[in-house]
Amino acid sequence: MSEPVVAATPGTEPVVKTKAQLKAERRAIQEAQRAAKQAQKEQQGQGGGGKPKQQQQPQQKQQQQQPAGKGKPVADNKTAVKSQQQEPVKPPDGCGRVEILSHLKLYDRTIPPTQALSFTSSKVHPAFVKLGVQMARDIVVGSNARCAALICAVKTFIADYKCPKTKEIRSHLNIALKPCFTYLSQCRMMCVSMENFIKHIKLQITKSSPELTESEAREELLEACEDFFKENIYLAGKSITEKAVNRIVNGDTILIFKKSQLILHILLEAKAQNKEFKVMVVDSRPDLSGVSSCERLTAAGIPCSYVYINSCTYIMKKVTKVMLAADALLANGYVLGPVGTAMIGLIANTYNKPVIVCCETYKFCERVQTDSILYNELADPDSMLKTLNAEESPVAGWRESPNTRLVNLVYDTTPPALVSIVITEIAELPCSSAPVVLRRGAVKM
Amino acid sequence: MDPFLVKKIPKDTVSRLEEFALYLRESKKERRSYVSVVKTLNVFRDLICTAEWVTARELIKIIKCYCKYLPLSQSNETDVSNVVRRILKIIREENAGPEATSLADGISAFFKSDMKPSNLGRSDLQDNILNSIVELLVELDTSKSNIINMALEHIHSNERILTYGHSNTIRDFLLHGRRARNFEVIVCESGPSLQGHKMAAELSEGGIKTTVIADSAAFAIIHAVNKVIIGTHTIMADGALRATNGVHQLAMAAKYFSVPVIVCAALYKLSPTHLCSYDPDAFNKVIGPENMLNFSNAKLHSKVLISNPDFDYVPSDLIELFITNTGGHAPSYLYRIISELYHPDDYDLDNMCVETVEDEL
Repeated sequence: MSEPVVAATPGTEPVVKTKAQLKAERRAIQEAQRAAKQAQKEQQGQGGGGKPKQQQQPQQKQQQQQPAGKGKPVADNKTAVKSQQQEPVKPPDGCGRVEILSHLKLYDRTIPPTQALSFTSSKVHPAFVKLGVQMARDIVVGSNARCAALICAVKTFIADYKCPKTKEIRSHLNIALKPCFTYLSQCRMMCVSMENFIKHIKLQITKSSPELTESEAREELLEACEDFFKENIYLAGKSITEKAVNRIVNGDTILIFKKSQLILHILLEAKAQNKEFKVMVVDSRPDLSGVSSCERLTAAGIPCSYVYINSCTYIMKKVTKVMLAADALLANGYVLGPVGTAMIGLIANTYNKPVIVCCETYKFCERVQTDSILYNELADPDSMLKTLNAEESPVAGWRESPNTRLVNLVYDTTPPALVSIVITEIAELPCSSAPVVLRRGAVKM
Repeated sequence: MDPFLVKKIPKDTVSRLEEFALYLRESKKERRSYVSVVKTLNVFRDLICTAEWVTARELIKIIKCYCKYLPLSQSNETDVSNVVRRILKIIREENAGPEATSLADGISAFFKSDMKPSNLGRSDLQDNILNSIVELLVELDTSKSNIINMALEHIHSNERILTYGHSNTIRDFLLHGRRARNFEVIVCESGPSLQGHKMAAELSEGGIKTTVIADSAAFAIIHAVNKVIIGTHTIMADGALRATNGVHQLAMAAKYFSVPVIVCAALYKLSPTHLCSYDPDAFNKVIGPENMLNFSNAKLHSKVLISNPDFDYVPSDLIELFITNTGGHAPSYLYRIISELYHPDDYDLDNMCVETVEDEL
């Protein structure tokens, strides 16, 4: 057990210490040394090589550290990425308790998205930092706009990128981009258009030929980004517009839902071709983006009406066709769109009005789902409290009340039976052709 | 006031009648139908006691003449017109005495009986009528509690119930159910008036876990809901509803996912009329759009036609069950209830607000 050990120091009486005491002393010394080392390393900045450290940031949760340093050269960057990750903060109590939606993340909007990033050695390019904040704060909205903004940010990154001497661009660039994309997904859930572009550009990077010099490879990749934008957003938009405008005849009353860049473009083009038609704008809370649709349309001289989605059954008789935009088309034919699209599809079907969905093929996605809650996004619940009159909503104090919660869904899925036709740049298809298009795209690559 | 009425009714009653007509005309949005109905009964009780009449037929003539002054053809006065119909039915019944037949007893028997002057004198007839009106008042008083007492028969444990906007009946129904069962409620906001927020605040104060969603999210979430329980403004004769704006699409979504729609309403909301026309404007009432788009956006207001309809027509095939103060009924049974409550001569509002002809039979 513990035999007394005599520890003699000169000039003192021999002190009798137990083994346990000595052990404790040794541990104390080790702790002190470790603390000193850590302080020293922190002075040198984050992301140094060696053991993974745990950053103590205010309000930042402890990340789960995988045993790092698996002997790969990428270990450095992996740990760096992890230490900069800002975990989405635990949702405020109100929302967490909607059981059927508890698998969806709710971002805490009181914390700025850049909380965890440091000025000195952040791996996230400033263009991405800006983009992340813009998306989190709804400054950049709409699937096409977000994808276009992402393409710009990636182009800026590639232009500024300098490949380390020992690495190849085609393996290192992806690694360098990773923290940027991770940061973006922590600011706001990525939409399908963005995810598809990221997949595309990653493939382009790995496919780039090793014989090219760095600047040539960079040029090639910049061109690949440009081409993606031009083919899939700009030219696809033009092609869809042509096809859709053909479907608009004089005397039509077209119903549109909220604001979509593509649908507005189609209507403005139809007006430019001197077609006589009216537009019924259906809007819904809480974002009420239909108002700016109305502004664009009236500025172009198109007669408009405006209703909330509650009154959709009231006005549906007067409508001749319904044109909707999609955020994505799933492989089983379901249309992912802004929440309320499915309701409009259902009402239009009941009144036998054709439902035309306009969607570029780059938004087709391999995921399948049959309901709207499995994959969705929760937007800011406090925006539901906005009222147009000065009165405060009775549930304004919802965070204090244990029984009240607000849910602000962003997407919903429309079953293919409710959609008459999908207009894409390659053809006008039924919803069920989505997997065919996906396969065709995969074969092309 | 009509000279005929002025002749038959003493002055202070006339002033009270005029007051009541004015009260109905001022369309107060927050006016509860129960309050108007009780007021109506009291006013008519007054009229029956003080007016000059000998036979029931004369009394009915007086009442119908007065109805001309009430805004009964306005869409939100169906509760008042239903109560007036009930009063007329009471008068006819008391007049016919023990031989009273209703349409439910068979068409030929019913039409054989005529408005013969009763054996009873005015005072006896008046007493009987007033007694029946008091019974009607009691029925109205207890109508809500009868409905909410059925809550436990319709809510099982750990249920998710979807409701729309604000309704006093539904709120009390759910709070009553909460006393014995644990369940969750999802409330649709019901824009642009946002009555759903008020409902959610009241329900969560009562201890029910409530979630507020936007109306556009109803389709997204309804497949995960067990039942839809809603209130209504009026029940039409075929079981259709005139309800708050937005209920029709909710019922359509519920039908799509086979979620039952249950309507809780007292029988004074049951109106023996049908949808007048498939033209939505003929059925509906449009109110100001200040809650939809701020008037400060004047430029847009001047160029865009903004519609804010108040009501919604819900066809009867979308509704599963009616819970009324007399129990639960399928929409197909309502015709029977109507034949018991109202007399066919009173179904048509035009007949009710007839111009008096002095020498009418």
